[in-house]
Amino acid sequence: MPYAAILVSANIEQMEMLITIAIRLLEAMFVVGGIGSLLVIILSGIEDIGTLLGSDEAEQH
Amino acid sequence: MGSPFQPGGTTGDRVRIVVATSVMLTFISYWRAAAIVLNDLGSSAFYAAGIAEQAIGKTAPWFILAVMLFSFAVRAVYVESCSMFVRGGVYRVVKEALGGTLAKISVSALMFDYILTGPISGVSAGQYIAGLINDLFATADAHGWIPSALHNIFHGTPHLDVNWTSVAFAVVVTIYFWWQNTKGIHESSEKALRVMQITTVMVVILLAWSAITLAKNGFQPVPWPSPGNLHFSPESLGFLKHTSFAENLPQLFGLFGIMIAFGHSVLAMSGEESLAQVNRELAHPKLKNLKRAAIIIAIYSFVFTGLTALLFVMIIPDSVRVPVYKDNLIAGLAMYLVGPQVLRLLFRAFVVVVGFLILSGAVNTAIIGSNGVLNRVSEDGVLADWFRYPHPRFGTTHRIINLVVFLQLFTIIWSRGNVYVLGEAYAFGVIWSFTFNSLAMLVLRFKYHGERGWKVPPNLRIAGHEVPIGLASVFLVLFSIAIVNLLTKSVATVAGVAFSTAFFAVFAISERVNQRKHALAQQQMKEHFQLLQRDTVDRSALGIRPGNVLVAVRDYNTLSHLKWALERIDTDEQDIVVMSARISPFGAAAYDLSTEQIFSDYEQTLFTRAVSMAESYGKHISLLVVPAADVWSAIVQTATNLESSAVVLGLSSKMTPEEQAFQLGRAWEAMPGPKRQFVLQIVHPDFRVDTFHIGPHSPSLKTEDVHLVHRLWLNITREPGLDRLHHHDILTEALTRFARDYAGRDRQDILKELRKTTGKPIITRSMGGDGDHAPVSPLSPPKPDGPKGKSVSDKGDEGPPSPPIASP
Repeated sequence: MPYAAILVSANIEQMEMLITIAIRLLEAMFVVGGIGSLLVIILSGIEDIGTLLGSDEAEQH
Repeated sequence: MGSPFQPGGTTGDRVRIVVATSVMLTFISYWRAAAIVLNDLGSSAFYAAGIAEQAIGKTAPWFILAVMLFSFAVRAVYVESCSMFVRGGVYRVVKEALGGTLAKISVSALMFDYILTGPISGVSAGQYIAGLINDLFATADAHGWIPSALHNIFHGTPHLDVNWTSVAFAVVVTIYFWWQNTKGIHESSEKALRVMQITTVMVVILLAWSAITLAKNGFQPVPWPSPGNLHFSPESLGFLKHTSFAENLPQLFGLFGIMIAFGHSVLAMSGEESLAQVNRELAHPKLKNLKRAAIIIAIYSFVFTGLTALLFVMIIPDSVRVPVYKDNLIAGLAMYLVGPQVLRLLFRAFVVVVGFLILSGAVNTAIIGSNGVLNRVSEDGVLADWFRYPHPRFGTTHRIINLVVFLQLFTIIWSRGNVYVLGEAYAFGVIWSFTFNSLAMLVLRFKYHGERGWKVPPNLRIAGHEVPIGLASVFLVLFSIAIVNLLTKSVATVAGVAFSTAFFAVFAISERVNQRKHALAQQQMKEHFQLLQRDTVDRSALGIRPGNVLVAVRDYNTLSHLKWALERIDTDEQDIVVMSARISPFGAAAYDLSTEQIFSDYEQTLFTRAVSMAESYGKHISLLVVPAADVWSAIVQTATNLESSAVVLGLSSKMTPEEQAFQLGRAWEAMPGPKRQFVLQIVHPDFRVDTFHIGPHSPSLKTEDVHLVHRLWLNITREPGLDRLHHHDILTEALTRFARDYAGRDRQDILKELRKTTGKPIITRSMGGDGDHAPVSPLSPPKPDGPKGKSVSDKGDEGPPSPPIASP
């Protein structure tokens, strides 16, 4: 195999490995963020019920 | 010039001008605020599911539902930002946290979002209308109702080219709202509420009818959102389609496939930014009402956009859902409900009407929102003052409106009516403006330690430091999806980056030009004017007495009414306040504006002319600039705050004096008490004057009415036991009976009679309040009392009344 072709192939491999790492990183961010967002939804949802039912305290500071 | 024209003291030879820095607003209830936002957010239910299914396949509804659930968390971020800044939109928040450059980038992305909201909504509405017309043609043809001549013209069943019809429709609607905005229509929360009420009727019927259909016919399963069930179209992989793992990407990276699918559904929550824009207009208690509005918005859009997305797949057969109804899925759903065809067609027509209303409303919201955002950045000197120059006739920022509408029309024609392409591009602006906002809020948690009305939960305290887990989590999801979209939405990435870069360049260049120009202007201004910044307007700030005359000015070429007032008022006895309202449109800054933002080149020219006119009469005038969302409310609030006895206006070029008085009267009714009555004098260019009383006042009776009362009094006092009756007792009894009849069955007859009397329609809708209160009073357009439309209190042109004219 010519040297240039090996170099291109190595570059592609490196690129794909980088893409794979980037994808895994994005996946991790999404999972961690997703779990935290679920907490946000639950906790603010509980508070929302209070607000809708009018039991919410006056403006907090 | 040794000037006698500085009220309340002079400062060298400079003219003192009070600049109010808070916008004079009319406040709205949380229901109305929610309705305004839902007009934008709810409109995505008409197209988001179709776009998502084309990109990721039949499992799309689960992702739409997930996005709508996630929008609860995004909403929380906006609530926190609004609790910190009254105008907690992207620009303000990002600027505060990350500086001017990133603020300009984020606002460029937001502009891309707004610019595309108009075209996608207009084209989508066109798709619904064209789809209905074509189906009506097909149904009529099936019944043999189409004449053969039409058959010959269309070479078969008549039909419209759906995409080009949608383009034509979107162009017409955009041009219509361009003209409305150029004229300066006010964002009406009442209209938004009506549209949402009609939409709610449709949603309830749709959900109930769908439930009956599911119970009777069963349903098609919606594939679970697992990587194996994801079927990406080649376009939906964007730049990744060129990589070696494009073939089996969902299987190779299971979660990544889910993320791509989520990214293709994210446009379902577009419109959250509008929440930040209506926040400033929310009534007290602001935070609580903001939270209530936010909950209503989130629940409504979850039910409407999320549940209907599921129903599309469960009810509409696969064979027609995407091939036929991809761009008008709610119409498709209407056609596959159980029941007679006529009823389904009627319901479909109703869906189209609702779609037309809400989507056309979104076109308008897009123009208003873009105008607001560009005004906001322009106020900060990021856009050249040239853009803010008011329309010579209507006083609106027509150059910004022209720019926005030009870009929207270009987008509509470029898209050739393809909703999918528009939707793909649209998502770029949506996700990046959310991402910037959440990043900025996260940074502010560490940077700004002051008071906050509310914080996104949960927050952990570790070693005395607060860790904003909730906020960071929302940011992580948004950021990861934004990056995934960059890779997988090539159209959006190319168009969005190109557009945002172009806008960013315009902002950056404008800012530099403005900095140089403002330095010079500031120096000139310092030589002639002294700007006194006040949060609110009152008499002490201006150093004036009660019973003063407020003269509202706008165009420096039409100051004849000021001349009229100067000729007739002895300023030793009665002060004249010359006021200019700088219209701060929906979405522009609300509070903490700097004086330079409010007192622009235009106000300089305007006040220079006003002062020279006063100088030529040797009289004092006080100068005032107020930022306002609505000019009528600003005049009424200022007149009340300053205890003015009269307001003098020039004749409008687009309204009759009666209409001007009606608008002012309506603003007066809407203003919360205590409020003060005053006289409105509208001066024609030839110095004729129309006079109106604003607020409750004694009506001027015609001679024949006085005679009638007297005759009745003579007759009634002859009756036993009524010899002590007064004339006013008769009027009281007559009015009480009239009010009773008007509230009862005779209302229409009364209105008919009154219409005959006035010769024109009488507006009887209740005015004032925010919908939460009982109507204040039915108000008819104030019209001059007395014969031939002239006010009996009109004293020719002898000038405004002396103080005080009436006690509140």
